[in-house]
Amino acid sequence: MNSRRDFLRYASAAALATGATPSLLTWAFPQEQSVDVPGEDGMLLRSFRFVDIETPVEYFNTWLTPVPHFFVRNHMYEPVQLDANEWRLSIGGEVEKPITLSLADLSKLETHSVVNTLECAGNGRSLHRPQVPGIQWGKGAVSTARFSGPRMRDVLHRAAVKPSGKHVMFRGLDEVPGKVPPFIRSIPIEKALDSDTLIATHMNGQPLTKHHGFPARALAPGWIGAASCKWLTEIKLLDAEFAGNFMSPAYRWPNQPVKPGDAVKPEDTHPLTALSVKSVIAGPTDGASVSSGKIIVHGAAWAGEADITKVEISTDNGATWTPAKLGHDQSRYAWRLWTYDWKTTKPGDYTLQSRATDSKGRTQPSTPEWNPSGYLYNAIDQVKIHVA
Amino acid sequence: MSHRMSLDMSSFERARLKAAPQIAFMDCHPDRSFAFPKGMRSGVEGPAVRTHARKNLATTVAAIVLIALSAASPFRAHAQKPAGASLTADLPAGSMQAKATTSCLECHEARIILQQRLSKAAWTKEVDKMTKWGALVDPADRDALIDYLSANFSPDKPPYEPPRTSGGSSSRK
Repeated sequence: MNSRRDFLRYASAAALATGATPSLLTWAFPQEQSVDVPGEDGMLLRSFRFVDIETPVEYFNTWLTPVPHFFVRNHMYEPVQLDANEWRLSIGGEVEKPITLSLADLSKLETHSVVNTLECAGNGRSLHRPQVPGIQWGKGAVSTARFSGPRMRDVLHRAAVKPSGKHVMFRGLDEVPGKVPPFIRSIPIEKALDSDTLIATHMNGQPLTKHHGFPARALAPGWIGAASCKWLTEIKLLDAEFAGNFMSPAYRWPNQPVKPGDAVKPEDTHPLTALSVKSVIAGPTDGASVSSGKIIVHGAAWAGEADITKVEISTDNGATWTPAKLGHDQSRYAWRLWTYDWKTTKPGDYTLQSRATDSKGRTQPSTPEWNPSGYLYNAIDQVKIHVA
Repeated sequence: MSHRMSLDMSSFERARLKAAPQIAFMDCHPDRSFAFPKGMRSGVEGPAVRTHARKNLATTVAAIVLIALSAASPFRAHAQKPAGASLTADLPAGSMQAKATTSCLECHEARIILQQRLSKAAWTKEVDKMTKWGALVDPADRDALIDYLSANFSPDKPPYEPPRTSGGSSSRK
């Protein structure tokens, strides 16, 4: 009987054949060298099994992130076997007409495109103090792409949602090890019926790659990445929020501010939905040494379902702030690139900071809002550089 | 390469227990279906894998000795390769290394542990959570496992530096 074990054996052999070296190099040379991960170039490998890959901030220099530079967050094993012809999406639960759709069925529905900045709720987790468990993302578990596919509401309308269908549960094909709870979450029906919520089959004009949920994924724009289930295979309408680990205790936010390090009871929390306001400096990078004169400080800023209204830069450790210039490219759920032309003639060490404000009046805080799982880090960003 | 040839890679790889790289290197075919070796299929096989892992514990220890010897050998210089570090990492040396490898790396690779910087209280919660989720931890080993993780991955350790990916010469996009 063929099994994961056989597969693993094959995978190991394949890894060797493709140039990956055995683990003894890690022992001999603690400083790891690059790791061959086809389709992912220059990315930060947080974990290979499960695949968790971060975008370095210096790649935040294009409005749309090329797919090989788009961060990858998996909670489980990617599906071993995926066949576009065999793939089906079922819609059931609190509906009048349960249906099952093929990829061909989806392709017959009107296609809608949304440029969305997708950010993992845990982006920036490594910056929280005290540190909390989880993938220790730096600043790059965020990227932007044009997602395309049928609107989720068009699919839900075909199934005729009953009035009792208040929450929409997504299940993907990722494979669960041991007794780990499956990665299943739900979003409220209002968000699922929003005209921009998709069953995305394409990313930047190309079919989704495996890392990004081929052949179809949910896309809840402006919301934490966990709301956009990959390898989508089942949609189930529920009369209440899905009850499971990834709805509670995971992916929840304290109802009241928490003293760093304190525990929070699950009943004192609510599910995370839309992203916070945030900006990140893409260049110069932290620790860089640059020549005096004109220095272009640049980066990206986003605010989930809100719009970025301004990004301000400080080059004097926060004493004074000057507006940056926002880039031309914009779309409701997408980040704005920004630049700031800084002229300095005085050599020395500098702290550069960026601070975004959005259309809801939210501004990045100077200190992060600590929470037990390290979600939604959005403190004012800063890099330290040397001007020679 | 030279020292690699001196090892029985087949048994070495089998002994790694967690040598289970996801098939990231197998990407879509142009027709968007995926390529798999003939007969391979999806499936969860936790208990069988565990049996397999236990059977190979002795082999693991042997492999670890071989690795240690290899790292210290005069051939070490030849081991260096400009690109292509291991797909998955290893846990640090210590009396609990082998048991931690069996308990933790069955389901995920070592980097997920290497990057954590947690207090003993937090490690205790993690170990108990993972045990609930299927990690095989002998109750007699629980405290030693927590000590091992707390000692190696405490908040005062320097931050973990993740490796970069290279596109991979075998990339099929």
